[in-house]
Amino acid sequence: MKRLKEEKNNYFCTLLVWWALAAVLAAMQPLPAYAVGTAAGTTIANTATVYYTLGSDPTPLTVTASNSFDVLEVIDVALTWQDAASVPVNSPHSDRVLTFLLTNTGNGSEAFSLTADDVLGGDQFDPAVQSLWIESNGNAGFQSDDTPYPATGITMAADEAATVYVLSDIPSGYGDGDRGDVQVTAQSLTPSAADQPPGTLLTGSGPGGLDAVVGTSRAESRATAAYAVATVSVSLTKSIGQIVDLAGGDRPSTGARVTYRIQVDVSGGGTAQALVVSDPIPANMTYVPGSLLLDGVALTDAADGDMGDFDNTALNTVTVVFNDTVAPATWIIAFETTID
Amino acid sequence: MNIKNTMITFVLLLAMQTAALAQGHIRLQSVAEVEKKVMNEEGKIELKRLPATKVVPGTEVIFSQHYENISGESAENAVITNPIPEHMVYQPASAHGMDTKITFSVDNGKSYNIPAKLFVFDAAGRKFPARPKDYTHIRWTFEHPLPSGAKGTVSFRAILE
Repeated sequence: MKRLKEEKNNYFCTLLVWWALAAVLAAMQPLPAYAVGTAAGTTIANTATVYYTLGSDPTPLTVTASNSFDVLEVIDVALTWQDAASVPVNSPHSDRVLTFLLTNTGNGSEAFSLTADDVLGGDQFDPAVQSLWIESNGNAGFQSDDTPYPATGITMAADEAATVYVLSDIPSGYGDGDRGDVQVTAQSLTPSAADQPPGTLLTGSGPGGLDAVVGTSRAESRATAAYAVATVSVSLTKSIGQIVDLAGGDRPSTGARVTYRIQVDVSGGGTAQALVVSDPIPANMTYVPGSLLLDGVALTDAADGDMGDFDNTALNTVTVVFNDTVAPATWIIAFETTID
Repeated sequence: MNIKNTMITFVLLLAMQTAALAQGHIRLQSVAEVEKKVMNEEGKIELKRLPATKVVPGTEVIFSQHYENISGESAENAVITNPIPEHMVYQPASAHGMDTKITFSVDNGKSYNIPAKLFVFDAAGRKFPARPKDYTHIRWTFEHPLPSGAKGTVSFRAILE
């Protein structure tokens, strides 16, 4: 009986956990796109009808009356920084990416300008903003085939959002933890709208010649983002994995096969830029063709699409190209040689 | 002119006459206004009603129907219905009308009831009390006949989505 009760309790506990989990999952669901309101230019028509009879005549009679008005455009915009924390950079470092989200929170189509200010107080260095981009290729994150921000501004439908990337060069000479801020400002391009008090009426500036009204954002939005220098360190640990001599033993004698292992550790914060590991084959040893492995996966000896080669990038040398590597990361390179 | 044609002419005449008379008995004027805080001559802030011409989402609009019996007879069984305009959300307890019973519809005017007796159903068929945003129509049913010359106003407030 007691056992049954315990099982019952366990069942209820499990149920509770599931309920709690369901509640958490429900809370994690993406919010529905926030409707900013009835679209500018919509006609709101109201019609009322009175039904009655007159005197003793039972004939039903009606009278109808109507009125209508048009919805004005509200100009509103929101710009928010999207990176979870300061973007780790080296000093120097080129074309580092900050990510923002620009949303037309008004109720009509509106064009916005974007400007970036990289000379701000309160930080340790001034990043040099190079370019602004709009996400367009469908792949999250900045890629060079996204769309450069056009100097004429970006036109967005009501409720539409766009991801904006700001690329900056980081100056040299700064140390771990030093911060450099960039402030981006989005402004409505409707004349006399940006930075005006909420409620300012702009005659004829809305769709179809309707009036427009400056919204609570004052038709502009600013967001400040930060880069922070994070020192990265790369360590290489080379070891001999295995020796197999001709007699089947492990003596390093002529003809013996030696497996080398190089562990590459990228630690700290930030990015190890253009990381390349090269290991010349020692004198009196010969590389075993086709023996190069990266994390257990074979790389060809040719200079081709994979990350490694032998005797191509450098003579008689194993080369593995990692390019920019974000810390933390660990790789294991392995290859075989024979003793001459 | 045969009998059939004569009948059609007679019915048409009758219909035209009814329409013309119907517009002549009760004058109905529909007005949409917004309230604005203004300073009066005594320096006090007061709410002033202005025509709803500059309306943005979030604005509360007052819809009023001014009626007047301009016939020489009493108007009986008078009822005013007003579908709540699209994009407008009825504001709770904002409907007014002297000597009328006010009811609401949540089914596009098929049926009417008082707020406490209005329900909506979700996709699974579960029953919920209707919220003001579910209301589709308002109806004012006059409790007494409107004598010749009687006039008044029924109104409600709604917010532009």
